[in-house]
Amino acid sequence: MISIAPRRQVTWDWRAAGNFLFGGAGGGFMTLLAVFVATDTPINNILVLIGLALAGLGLFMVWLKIGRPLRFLNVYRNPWTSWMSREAWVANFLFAAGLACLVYGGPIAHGLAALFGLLFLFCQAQILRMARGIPTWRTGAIVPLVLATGLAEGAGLVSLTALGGISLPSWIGMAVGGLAIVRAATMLAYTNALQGGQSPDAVKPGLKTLLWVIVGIGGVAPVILLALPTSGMVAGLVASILVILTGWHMKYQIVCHLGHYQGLALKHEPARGGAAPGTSSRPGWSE
Amino acid sequence: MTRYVMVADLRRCVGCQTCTAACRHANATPTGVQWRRVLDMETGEYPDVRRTFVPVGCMHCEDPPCMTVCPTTATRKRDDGIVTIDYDLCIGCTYCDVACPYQARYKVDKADFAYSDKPTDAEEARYDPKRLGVSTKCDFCAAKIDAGLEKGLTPGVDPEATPACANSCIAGALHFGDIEDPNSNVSKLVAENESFRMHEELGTKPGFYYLWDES
Repeated sequence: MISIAPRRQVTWDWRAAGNFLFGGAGGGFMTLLAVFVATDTPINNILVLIGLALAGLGLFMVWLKIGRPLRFLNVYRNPWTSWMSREAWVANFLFAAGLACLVYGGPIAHGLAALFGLLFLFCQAQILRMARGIPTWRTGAIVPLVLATGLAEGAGLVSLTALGGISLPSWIGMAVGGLAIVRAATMLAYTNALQGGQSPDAVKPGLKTLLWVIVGIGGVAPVILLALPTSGMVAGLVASILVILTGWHMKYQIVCHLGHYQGLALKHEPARGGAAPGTSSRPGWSE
Repeated sequence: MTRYVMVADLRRCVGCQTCTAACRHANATPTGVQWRRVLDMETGEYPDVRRTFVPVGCMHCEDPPCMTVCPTTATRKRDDGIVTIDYDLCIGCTYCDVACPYQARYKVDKADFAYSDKPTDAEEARYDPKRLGVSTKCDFCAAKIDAGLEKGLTPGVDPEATPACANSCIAGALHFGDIEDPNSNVSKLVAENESFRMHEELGTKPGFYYLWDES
């Protein structure tokens, strides 16, 4: 159905959002794994598998959504202009690099996996950026936001590996807190970019709420938890969980609830019946 | 070069939806799918109110965002400016749907018939399973244009080579033709009247002109 005022898109539902949730976290995790976890430990192989599984789960959820799942190989046909096609290609390279980590190990394989994890994340950001029909997605400010969110989630997931007895550098907490603050800053820039006439009225309350979630619960709260003099492992884990869950909440909201179409508009109302022409009309936009 | 466009005279459109019905008949679109639709926009506050009827649909943009994002190359732009979808290639990811600022695309996953679970004879005769699970949209009746051109007819002038919506318009509001030809009906209408294209600020360069006043 078509509407005059911007309405929420429904073609990209929770399955599409799942790609950004799990794929984004998986990409960020693969990137930060190379930084924080020694590559020569056997446990690293399990972590690589977890990272690939997250990225794979995201892609599987997209596969569940498409109308013609048996034709999925067609997604590779347009890497020249389509970021969705590029994401699919990069996913292949990411899985190949992950496999190389498992079979050969070593810094080169892990470095490549980290690089392709980051590229995978970048493709996801560009997928949203190129959706010109959705004002809250097409803004350039979505790119740093998606990148920072994926990396913050990746750092949070790396931090959670401590539960498995993995020894992490002492500055992992600083990394989680730092990336949470960077993400909060990109969220602020994102909501600022959508002020005024840059987004329809219907999404503005949701954006405001989301800003508070990301800055307050996903930014300030984890940093306080990590900075407390009495902070121990539990506080660090809670902080990481907050960073991950708020990131997933944010991406779900942006894809499923704040993805309103541009809507339709008239630059000039026509002159009819001898009357003078009217002014412009843009229902659903106050500015 | 040829670039086919549609011109809608907003002063003439009466909102009768005949173009919508003609399109549905010509293209056998399923229930709820209207490639050509007419919006009924009410604006202002009493006593200064206005009502405008606005035909919308695929704008056949010069820089179509739907084509750029399509991962399968199913969406293409022909040399004459018409944007088409190859229903054999499309995977139904609907990326084009969120890339289109004009809400011109539709995806139907299950066969849906007008009167019951079973198709009428007419629906059965024209049912096309290729259109299930993929994105669909207006193609300016491209097959009809091509067939007309093969017979030496002129799109926008000869009804046999003109989209169904423009042919059916009772008010003379919808016009179709080649904007690159200075002598075409659409070129003259755009030259002789004030016109705009929707969401031009997004850089899509739509092939759908709205006339709103005399020059």
